[in-house]
Amino acid sequence: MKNLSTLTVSIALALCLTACGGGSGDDTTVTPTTPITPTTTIEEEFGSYLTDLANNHIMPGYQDFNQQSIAFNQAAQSFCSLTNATDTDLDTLKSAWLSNNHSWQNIQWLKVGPVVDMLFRIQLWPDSNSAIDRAIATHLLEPDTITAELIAAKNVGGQGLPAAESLLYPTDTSDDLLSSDIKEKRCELITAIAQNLENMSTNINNAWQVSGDNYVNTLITGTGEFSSKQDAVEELITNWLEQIEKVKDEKILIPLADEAPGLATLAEHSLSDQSLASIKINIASFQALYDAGAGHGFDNILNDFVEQQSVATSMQEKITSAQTAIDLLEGSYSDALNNEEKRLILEEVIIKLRELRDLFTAEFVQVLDLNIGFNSNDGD
Amino acid sequence: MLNRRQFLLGTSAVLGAASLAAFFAAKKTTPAWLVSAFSNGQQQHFAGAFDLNGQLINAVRLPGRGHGVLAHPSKPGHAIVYARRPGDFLLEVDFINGVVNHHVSAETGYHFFGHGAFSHDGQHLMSVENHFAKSCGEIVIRDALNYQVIEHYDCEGIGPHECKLLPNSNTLVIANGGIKTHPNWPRKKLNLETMSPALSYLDLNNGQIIDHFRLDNHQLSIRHLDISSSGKVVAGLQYQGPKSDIVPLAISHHGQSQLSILQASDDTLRPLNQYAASVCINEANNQVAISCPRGDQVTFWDLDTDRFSHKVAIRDVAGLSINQRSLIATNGKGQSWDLSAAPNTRHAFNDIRWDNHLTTLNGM
Repeated sequence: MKNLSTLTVSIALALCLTACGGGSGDDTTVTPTTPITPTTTIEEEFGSYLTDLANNHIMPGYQDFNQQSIAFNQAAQSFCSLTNATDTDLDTLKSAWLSNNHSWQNIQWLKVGPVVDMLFRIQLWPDSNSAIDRAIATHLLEPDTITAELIAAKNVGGQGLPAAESLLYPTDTSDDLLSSDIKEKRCELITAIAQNLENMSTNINNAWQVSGDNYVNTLITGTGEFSSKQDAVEELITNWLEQIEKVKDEKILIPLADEAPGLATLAEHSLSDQSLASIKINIASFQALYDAGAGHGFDNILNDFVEQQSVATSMQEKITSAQTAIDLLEGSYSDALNNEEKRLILEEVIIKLRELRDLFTAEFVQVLDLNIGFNSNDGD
Repeated sequence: MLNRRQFLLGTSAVLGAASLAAFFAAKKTTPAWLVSAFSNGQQQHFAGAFDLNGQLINAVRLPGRGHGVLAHPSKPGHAIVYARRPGDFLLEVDFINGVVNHHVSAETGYHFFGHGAFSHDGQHLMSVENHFAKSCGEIVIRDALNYQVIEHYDCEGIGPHECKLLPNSNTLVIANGGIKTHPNWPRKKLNLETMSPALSYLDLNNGQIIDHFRLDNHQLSIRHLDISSSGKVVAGLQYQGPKSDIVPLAISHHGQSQLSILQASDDTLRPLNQYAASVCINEANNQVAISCPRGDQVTFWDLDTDRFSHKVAIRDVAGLSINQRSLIATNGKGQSWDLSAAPNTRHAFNDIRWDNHLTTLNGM
């Protein structure tokens, strides 16, 4: 038998406490200092984080998504009521879709709460099965009036932001909302999609409100589907980690491919070519996730509670450097994928996000004793 | 050491009356424990036994992360704990006293895939292993007393994962996952474009593969399985293709010429994220439970019709086992759930992250 130790729960706990014991002695220090006695518990720290993240980022995010969905719906109705719509009118509608999409990108990372059952309905991507094209084709053959209720009961591909993008930025310009032979039917569909988005965003927003289903209380108290505040934090940071990987791999690495011109058709918004703007918003949301929207964030917990200033500094540096790198790019993503200088910048963004991921999954979760999807992220 | 002929003679017999009597006598008089590999927050790895009251009985430190656990058929309170792919150890653990009785290393050039099975008579241990130089999956037969290697059988496939014996038969069912790995790149999948998973049947009487059954989609890795008392096999799938593809979660096979796909709507399948962890047949209610940690669900399917029945939401759930007619689930958050209780009951374990699989064994 090899040197394998045995232990009981208490021994395991003792090992844990020993390993978690922080602080290093400094024999040369002569000035007496008053030991810091934590006045809160880690559970209370996590509660403060959840409260501030909900109030400063999540709920304003869903409120904005709701407002932008309403605005997009109004723009679609206005456009489709015009008898002789112009390019300018269509640009106005595209702008409303873009604002709606930007608003969604800000909270795209979140996969807990009321949004869970609507994630794919709001945005089905990637879509390797062409579900969006197939759903639109089916809807356009619908003999009856297309309504939000009708599409809400059909394939998710035909319900959300990508379906609207497909109608606004068709591959074949003869299919656009100005010149298509069936532009009235296309207008009917985009109006139904916009109404469906408004309905979903309203339901999500209401479910979060104290005056609604009060899901915010579930999150910040770590109750309901959560077993504790730590459990709720673990779910959120697992969502965060998944979003880091999604941005790094699906949004940048795959379209970048091995060489220019890249694979622009695999980008998130290949039709509107707005992928770069979405990536910027995604990375900006990482800052809000870290500092709870300038509230009681992980920076505070790392610096003041667990006293791991170096980890706090490194996390902030990684997030900032990823933002700085992506901010060097503007405009067309397909152009960036086909430009050697800009490809190098995108590769740099990947490196920065990879560094953030590595720090996140090692020191960050270790010093906070957080568990990120043990089986879901590393099964077999 | 037994030679091959002696081994074949031994495994040809079904579970003997004496060992059956001892098995059920123990089962009636002793509480049943559950065993799983787990890790703590400091990335240390263990295997632990706990009871239905949520009490940890004992735990032993592992040399690396563990994976599958086999109840020892003739030693109550004992189990075989396998290293996770591509680990090189298996341990016989006495959970009554919290000690490792045997530490068995993989042979040179081999690593374990994390699963195995005992022969019906309990005299032999059959482990799923990788001869990584040849990239050849093998069933390695060991004497269950001293763990000396008796025989190697070719799985005729790359990346075999879980295996189980058909009831009253000397046929081993193998989930040939199809994924090529090498310990130099421990978690990297090396052949996703050419992988060819199969559900394979191996005749232990002669070491020959009886048949392979494959799916049209070659990137659906067949990973974990369970077998009913009538011999129906249900196997969970893990997809290696594009994340947006909607693919089946599991297949079944009961003597037909081809595999059957467990049926569910796209809306049911999509949130499961193409990944099944453990498969557990519960004959008490004629259902199959399949854990989906990437979808935070335990899904339930009708054993006869292969159709989706319902789901239970549990975060990061993976381990499943039948214990005293109850379905028990564990997750990476250190929780255990009795899913047969109404309402479902839950226990929480401090600083424990239960790993992929859960096994019931007899305590003392």
